Amino acid sequence: MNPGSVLEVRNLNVAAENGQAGFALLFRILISIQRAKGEGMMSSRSKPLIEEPKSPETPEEVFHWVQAGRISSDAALRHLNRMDNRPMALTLGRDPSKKDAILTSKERADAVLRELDQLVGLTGVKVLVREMRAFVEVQQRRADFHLPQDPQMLHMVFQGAPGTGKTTVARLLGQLFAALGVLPKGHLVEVERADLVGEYIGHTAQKTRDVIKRALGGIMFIDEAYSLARGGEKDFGKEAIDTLVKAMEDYRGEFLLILAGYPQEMAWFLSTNPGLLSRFPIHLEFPNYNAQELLAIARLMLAAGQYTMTRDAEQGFLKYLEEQQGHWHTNAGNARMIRNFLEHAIRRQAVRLADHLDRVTRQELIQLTWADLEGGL
Amino acid sequence: MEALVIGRPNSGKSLFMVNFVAYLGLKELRLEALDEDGMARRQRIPFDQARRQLVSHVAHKTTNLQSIQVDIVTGRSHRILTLTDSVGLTDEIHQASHIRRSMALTLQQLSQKPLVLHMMDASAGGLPWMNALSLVDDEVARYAGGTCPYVILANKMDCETAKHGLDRIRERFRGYPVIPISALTRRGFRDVKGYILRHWG
Ligand SMILES: Nc1nc2c(ncn2[C@@H]2O[C@H](COP(=O)(O)OP(=O)(O)OP(=O)(O)O)[C@@H](O)[C@H]2O)c(=O)[nH]1
Ligand SMILES: [Mg+2]
Repeated sequence: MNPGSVLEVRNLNVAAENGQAGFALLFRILISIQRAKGEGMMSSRSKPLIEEPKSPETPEEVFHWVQAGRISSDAALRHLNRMDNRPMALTLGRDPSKKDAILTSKERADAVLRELDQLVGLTGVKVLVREMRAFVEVQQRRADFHLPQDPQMLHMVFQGAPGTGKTTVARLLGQLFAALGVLPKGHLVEVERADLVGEYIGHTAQKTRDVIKRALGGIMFIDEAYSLARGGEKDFGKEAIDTLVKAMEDYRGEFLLILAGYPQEMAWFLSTNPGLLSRFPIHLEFPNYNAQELLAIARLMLAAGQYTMTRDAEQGFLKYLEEQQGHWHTNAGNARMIRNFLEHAIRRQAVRLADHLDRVTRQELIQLTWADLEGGL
Repeated sequence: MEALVIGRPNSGKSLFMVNFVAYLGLKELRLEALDEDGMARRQRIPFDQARRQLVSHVAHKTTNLQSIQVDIVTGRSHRILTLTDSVGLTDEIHQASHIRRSMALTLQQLSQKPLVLHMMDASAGGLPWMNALSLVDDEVARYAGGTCPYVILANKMDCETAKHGLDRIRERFRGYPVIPISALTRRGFRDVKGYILRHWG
């Protein structure tokens, strides 16, 4: 048992909680594999007879473990924090000047929009989200003047291939509406057909209601929503839709529903149920990324894991993306596809470096070459 | 009074240290470096040479702890500040044992509860994925922010991208004091000095 890797698992959880689960996770796993390899070589020389404790017990041990390369600095600090069990720990040192702590609604909304702006491409979506914000603020002013306002106006349809940023935007919308006071919590509950549809009569309604309860105060995001209508009249999917529609009335303004999926399938879905279309007035389109945008996404993903591409790799990759533009299989899925390419490349890089790990330079560990990428294309 | 400059590699700890002590009025650097073997070594170097020698865009330029003592004269009192520049902390376990050794020493210093100046590179903080991954910054804030006089220095504010970065830092580290600075242009140094004097323990 390698204690270092146990701690890494905890790191994984932290990254996942931060909402960057997939890719961050992958990088962490790969990094810890690389580490484990290195450590394996170290510890084979002096294998302890008695298994050492799984976590350090004193601060001195923490420092020792850092020095020995058993734990990273952040893990060390978590241990120190645990040992430092002063009751004051949470309040001391925090600046009581509440100015930071309580951001105004406007500041929080601005912060969300800034985060949205950092997403690659998606110009149309960015414009629409700003319009929605304006719409909400006007609605609120209308309420001040006792004019009718309609929270039902905010249910949405997201059209686009997988990996075009639909979930990310949904999450940001949750934060935006929470900042604006439209939703009390603004959390995102992601569901798919299997979460809603049951196996016998009555089961579906129950399952769907359970999910709705979880989503109250936030956003329910149904990916590949058209699959609910796939089975035709006798399918339980229809029961799920009916339950959702009813809940939209019963819990008016208490949650938002976003239906997501490929453009064509979504158009078909909405046409199967005429009542649906009118209940989802806002449609956001998530176009496929172009080659330059995909490269930008690749760079961001790599930067997050402390990887870079060599100049050759970038050029080769861009050329490949340009050639393929328009020819993707609809399931290839854009950003997710890039992620897959990079995952492959990182594995190939690991294989390439594995036979001389003892002499490997920091630069080599960071850089992906064209050969690493090409092999996965 | 002990103050520790801590943060990720390349956040600008060394440049801050050199320019800040110059700002405080030192005429030359009397540097006390704690070598990896724990031995202290003293050096005197002029500032421009110090900048060349200590600051670099290559990560992990600083490989050991280096302290400078500065007299701060305010009114009638005369006090001595020991400012320590440390090795960059990372989420990764570093391959080189001398860096790991210095990281351990840095953490040890931190556990002595000095005044902590937590350096962050605001110009690099704009990337969403990047931010999600800086676990070590989160942990430093949680540890030091809970037990020491603690302030975040959002550095490189002279860069264009730093505005975004500052917002993100404020957002992520809500509730902790943040001072925007530029180690290069010395912006914000007055606020840092003020903060240190107010928390003189
Ligand atoms: N533009 C700008 N650059 C800065 C600033 N502060 C530091 N830098 C640059 O950032 C790089 C890193 O600075 P250092 O002071 O060596 O960083 P460090 O935190 O000591 O790094 P390590 O010792 O490697 O952990 C250098 O190229 C500096 O010139 C700043 O305020 N503005
Ligand atoms: Mg340095």
